[in-house]
This record gives sequence, structure tokens and C-alpha cells, in this order.
Amino acid sequence: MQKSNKKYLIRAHTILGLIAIFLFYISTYFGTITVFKPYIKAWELPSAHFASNNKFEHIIDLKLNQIIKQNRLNIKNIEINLPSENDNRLKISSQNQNSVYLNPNTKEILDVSKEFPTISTLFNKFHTGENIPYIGVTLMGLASTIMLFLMFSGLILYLVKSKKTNEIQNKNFRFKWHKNFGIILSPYVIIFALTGAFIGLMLRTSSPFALSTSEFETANMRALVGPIIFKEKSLLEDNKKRQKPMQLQKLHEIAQKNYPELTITKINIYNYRKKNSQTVFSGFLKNNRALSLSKINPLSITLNSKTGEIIEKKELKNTHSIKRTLSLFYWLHFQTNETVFIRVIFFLFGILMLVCLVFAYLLWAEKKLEKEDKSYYEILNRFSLALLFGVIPASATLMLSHWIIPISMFDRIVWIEGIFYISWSFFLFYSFKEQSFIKILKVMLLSSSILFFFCFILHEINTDILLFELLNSGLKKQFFVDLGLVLSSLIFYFLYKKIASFSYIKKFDRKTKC
Amino acid sequence: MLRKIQNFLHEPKSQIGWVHGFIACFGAVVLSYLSTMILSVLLIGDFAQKIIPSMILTPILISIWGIWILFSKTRYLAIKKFILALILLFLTFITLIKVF
Repeated sequence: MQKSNKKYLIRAHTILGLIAIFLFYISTYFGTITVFKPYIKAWELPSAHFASNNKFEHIIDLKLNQIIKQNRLNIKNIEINLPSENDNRLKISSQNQNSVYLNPNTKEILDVSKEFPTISTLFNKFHTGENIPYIGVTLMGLASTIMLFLMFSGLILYLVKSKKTNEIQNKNFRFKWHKNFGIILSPYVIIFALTGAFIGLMLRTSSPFALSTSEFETANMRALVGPIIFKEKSLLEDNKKRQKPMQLQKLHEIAQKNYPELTITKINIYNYRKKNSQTVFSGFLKNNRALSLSKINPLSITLNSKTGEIIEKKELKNTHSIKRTLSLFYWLHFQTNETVFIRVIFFLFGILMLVCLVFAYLLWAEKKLEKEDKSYYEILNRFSLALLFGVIPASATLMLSHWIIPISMFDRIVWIEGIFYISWSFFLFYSFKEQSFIKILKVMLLSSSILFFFCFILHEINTDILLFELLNSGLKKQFFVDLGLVLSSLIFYFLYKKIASFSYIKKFDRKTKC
Repeated sequence: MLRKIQNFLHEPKSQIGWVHGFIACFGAVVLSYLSTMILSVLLIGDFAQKIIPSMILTPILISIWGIWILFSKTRYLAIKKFILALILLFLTFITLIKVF
């Protein structure tokens, strides 16, 4: 490669990296936490505090009729979401009506009126950029697209650099590990940046494709693709004749016998207790979760509610190729229905990605230290410090607010989101007020340590269960989150104690007082 | 004046500047959308089969077109690459629309 081209690529890598790093860092930070979304949701919702028994009796014939009558659910399509990795509660709902949640083991109706999954909702919002009105999601998509460029350009630079240049640059610890992590994480970046760019940017700028394929008739991609991909089973015709259906448990057994590889996650009953009633059992394939994701490409078996006769069986080979592709795409991004092991691996990759991004910023920042007029870089360094590290105690404050702010408070979620921004702003102002970077980091680390520990304590107090009792009671998800909080608290305390020995950080200190 | 512009465009650059960078970014986005629009027309199948692969490919193509335009010694060369590719892709697109 020509020397000039190499220079152009390095410069483009640096500038575009600086543009995208902040957005992508925030997205990666919250995305890494939301890898454990089902766990956080179970932790923050008191109604989900019951043991998940694999042998639960989810067939609820006795209660179903009563629930439908009491809640006046629309019998045209009653949806029963069975307990899964994402939510261990059993949910009964119909379109445009409130959902009813049940403990699948005791069949007791759970009171969900006094709770809301604030933490998982807000973390997901920050991850997708929805907190920035109108342009947030598109911006995140754009940052993902830039991330793809950064990965390609980084790989090219790694391949074209001579062994000698590599050896010289490897003497810089941050450069060496930015490069190494970048290479190790390239599959991770492809998965998340590509899916992120697709969801964030492409879904919002798909008009040119809709126009080109529809001979300039419509710019609405959803109107063209939606009916093909998200075609829903149409409602059945009204039938006035009533008929008692076969027991749901028996229908479930018939469905499972005829479709043994299907993991049933959802049951839809059309025209409940009517003569033409049908029951649809849908879910994903045990041996092919990625291509049969419940939300995108659910597979199903439809039975006659009275006789149990098979009306339709939807198999993977008969589904649309694009649905399979999208299912794979979404599965790679969301790891739906995956176990804790896969989630931990993705979490660790996320942490490495965050370190890689911080090293990238430091590489740029340490070069600028040699400049004579440093005031501009000084401002940016302090802003970056607050943004990259201040977000940790700020998110801990958000978690803490969830347990402190009463559920009855008006616009509770707005208050909690506001407290998160106030806390983040506090660390931003403190970063500018304080001269020493070590001191700023110490305050951030100690605050994180204390706040995470308080989150753990408040959860214990609110639910009135101690850490090891959680495990003994079978509340594994809640136990893992509490354990994670205690471990995070200890790690941040350890870093707080050790941070003063990192003399490298002192380089960035302000020499004169403000 | 004309000479000044000519000198500005043909000046070999050791580092990319705003103009060079802007052409690379803007060009990459325009060319990648145009090339995937062509792909959408070319693909056989229903709307989903025509549109979704293009939407997946576009972010990858942005990087490839971007790097290609970036590797230009002068601003003139970068503009030339962009304009030529744009004309070529546009003509292909119009032809395909008429044919298919």
C-alpha cells in the first residue's frame, strides 16, 4: 500500500473514531449490561420473585375461563405467554387489554400494578439512543456504521504495517492492546455494529430501496415488506355456537407429540369456547434457536380446540428465507432465550470492547499532550472522563433510585431518568472543578462502589430475602444480579485503592488552577 | 481564480483535510445506497427478498466505497472517482429500471 494511502487511512480512522467513540461507548456500555436484561427485570420486579421450577404446571384450564371473564379479554385471540428465560411469569392477554400475570407454579394472580421494570427499560433506552428525541436511534445506527469502517480500516492497517513498525508501536501498552482487542473482537464488532446499523440506521432510511423496487410508487418499506414477513394469522369468523374445548393440557400434549422439536413459548386461542375455535402453539426449535426466533420467525402447530386435529404445521423449511436471515440477525444481537453462559461470554466481550475504546481515546489524547495550546484538549479530556467513567456511578444511581422513589410517584420513570442525568452532570462538573485526574477517578470509583453496594442492600431490604436465601429459595436470577452487584462493588473499591499508583494518569492533570 | 481552484484541487495532500474527508464520507453514503438500490432491482423474488439484503449490505458498502475514495492523492482525484462512479451507477440504475 502507498505511504500516502496509509496516512489517509490512519487519519480517517482517528477522526471518525473520535466522532463515533462517545456514542458507541454509551451504546456498548448499556448494551453490555442489557445482555442480562431478563435477569435485571426479574431482579427489579417483586412479582417475579418466585422460584422457576422446570416442572411447572403451566396449563391453566381451571383459571383461564375465570380470568377471561373477570378481565373481559377479547375471545377472538387470547394469548398465553408461557414462562421462559426472559420472563418466568405466565402472561395472559388479548389485544388492547391489560395483561394478567400468574405465578405458573401456584397459579396465583400476581399484582403488577405497583411495579414497573424501570431499570431494564431505561438501560435499553440509553443503549438504543431513544433517550435523544427524534435523532437518537439514527445517530446510534450511524455510530455503528462508522464502527464497521473503523474495524475494516483497523484490520487493513494491521495487515499492511511492517513487522518493524508493529514492534515499535507495540512498546506502547495502550496501542498494543487496542490493536489486539480490536482484532480479537472483530467478529463481535461485525455482529453488533452490523445489526446495530441495520436496526438503527437502515430501518429508518429504507425509502430509496422501497422506491427502487416499487417503481417509485411508495417510499414506505414497511408497507411492502411487512405483509410478507410479519403476516399474522387472521382472526376467525364469528361463530355463535358455544362449545367446550378440549383441556389445554391435552392439546399441549398433542402439539408436543406431533412437533417434538418445538419448544412452545406461546399459545394463542382463537374464538375461545366457540365451535370453530383453534389453538396455535408457537415457539422455537430446540436444535435451531437462531433461525426460529420467536419474535421474528416463530414456528407453530395449529390444532382444532375441540378435537385436537392438526390444522396447520409450520416448519422451518417452509418459512421465508428473509425471515430466517432476520431471525439469525436478531438472535445474534439479542441472544434471545439463551442461557447465562452465553450471556456471560457476550458480557466479557462487551467489557473488552469498552477497554478497547478507552485505549483508543487515550492514544489520541496522549499525542495531544505534546501540543503547546492544550486548553481545547484539556476540555475534551475532562468531558471524556465524565462521559466514559462518570456513566458508571450515574447508572448505579439510577438503579438505586428504582428502590428509593415510591412507585406511587407521578411520572416516576421521568424522575428516575432525571436523577440519572443529574448524577452524570455532577461528575461532569466535578471533572472540570478538580485538577487531579486521579482524584476525579477516585471519587467516581468510590461512588460506584458504594452505590452498587447500596443497590444490593436495598434489594435485600425491599424483598426481605438475604443473598444466600435467594439461592436456597431457587431465585437464581435475583441471586446472580445481587452477587454481580457485590462483586462490582468490590472491584470498584479495589480500583479505588489502586488507582493512585497509575502514574500515567497524572500526565493529564491540569497544571494551573482555574 | 480558476487557477486557484485548479491548484487547490490538484494539490497533493500529505494528510486528508475537510474537503477530502467530506467527499469520502458523502460519496461513500451516496454510492453505497445507489449500488444497493441497483441490487434491489436486480434481485429476483418478493419485496422482502429484494429489499432486506440491500439493507444489510449498505453499511458494509459504505466502508468499502469510503476507503476507495479516501485513497486519492488529490481532491480532484477524489471528486473524479465519486462523479464517475455516480454517473456509472446512475446510468446502470436507470437502465435496469427500464429493463426490469
